[in-house]
Amino acid sequence: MNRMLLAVALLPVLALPAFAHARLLKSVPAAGAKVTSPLHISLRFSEALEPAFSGALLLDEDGRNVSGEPVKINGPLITLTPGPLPPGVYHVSWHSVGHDTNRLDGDFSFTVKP
Amino acid sequence: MIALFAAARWLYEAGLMALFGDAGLRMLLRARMPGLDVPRGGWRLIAALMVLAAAMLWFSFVSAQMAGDPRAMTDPGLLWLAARQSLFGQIFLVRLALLVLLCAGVVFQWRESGLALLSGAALVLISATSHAAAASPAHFTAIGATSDGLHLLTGGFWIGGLVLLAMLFAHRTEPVLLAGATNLFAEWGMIAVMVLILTGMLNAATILLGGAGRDTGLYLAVLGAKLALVLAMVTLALINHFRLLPRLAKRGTADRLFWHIRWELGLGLVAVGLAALLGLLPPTL
Repeated sequence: MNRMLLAVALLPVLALPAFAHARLLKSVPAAGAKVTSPLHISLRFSEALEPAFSGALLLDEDGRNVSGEPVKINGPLITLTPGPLPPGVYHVSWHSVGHDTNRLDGDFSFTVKP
Repeated sequence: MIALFAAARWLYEAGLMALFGDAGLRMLLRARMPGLDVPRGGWRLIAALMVLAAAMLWFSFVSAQMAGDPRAMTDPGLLWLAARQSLFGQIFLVRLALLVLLCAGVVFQWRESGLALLSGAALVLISATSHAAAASPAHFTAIGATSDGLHLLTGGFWIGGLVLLAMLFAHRTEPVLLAGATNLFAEWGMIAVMVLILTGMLNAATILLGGAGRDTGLYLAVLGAKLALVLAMVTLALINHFRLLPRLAKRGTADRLFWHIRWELGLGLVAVGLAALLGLLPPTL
């Protein structure tokens, strides 16, 4: 019986490792939103981030970096403070690394209304 | 690349599991069966050095993964940044120190309790950055890390115990003593098994049920392969326990049981390898 239990014990090993990436849960402004010039752009992820390996960029229609102040990363939150943005379409490009060391990249756009 | 990544992780985990379980069972055998001639573990230095090399290789892969650039594997600046600025890197530095001590302990033949402590600590520390830890309910990382750590330790006792049992069989130990050692292993194994099952279920629940999205085919295929391995192991264990162990004194039975233990160990090591691969595959998209 003891040995049988030992063998059965391997079963849970099947489910041991899996993924728990730092996924983007929410952004303000949201993807596709039309807003007035935001003071901050915040991105909330599903888990705490590794600040040295995570980040985000704000690019204008011409691909210029308009991120403004250095990006702040606090726990699962990335905050951009770009300063006043003229009307147009803006592109946020981000990359996240959680404590599980897996990296995700993504992007979204929003529009600043006149 | 992913195969090398998984291989480094597999060598690390399998090597430490073997070292931990071997040292743990040696402690038990010396305490309960002082008359038993336990073979010297000459393989342990090779295993400890292999684990040390695998740890460094694994770290360089992880650094490249975090940086999103394969060149980071050999970039001293990025490696140092990863070591200082990431949780995985900081824990890696601690593990590195433990592994150097483990190598020294094997060379200078420290007590088994010391070797078990060093190998167990180096094994359990990887739980802090595991997927189980990251997927912990309500971000209570300690839940997943503790569960995963216990899971690794109990799995290590099982794998490493089989290594030492196989050595005892190879050493032509007396059947009575072999039966005693096997029963002692099973006695402690029961406790390990219960913890292994509970923590495995907890890990499965937090990781798989808590994830969003649909399952990926490759992940399920690897999982299926592991299921097949487990079924084979259960079959072997049943035959060993109900048919071979009671007849150990009969001629030829010890040889057959020895073969089964080696097969069981081999299947277990392959299962750990598949677990290492699963750790790099997304279960859901």
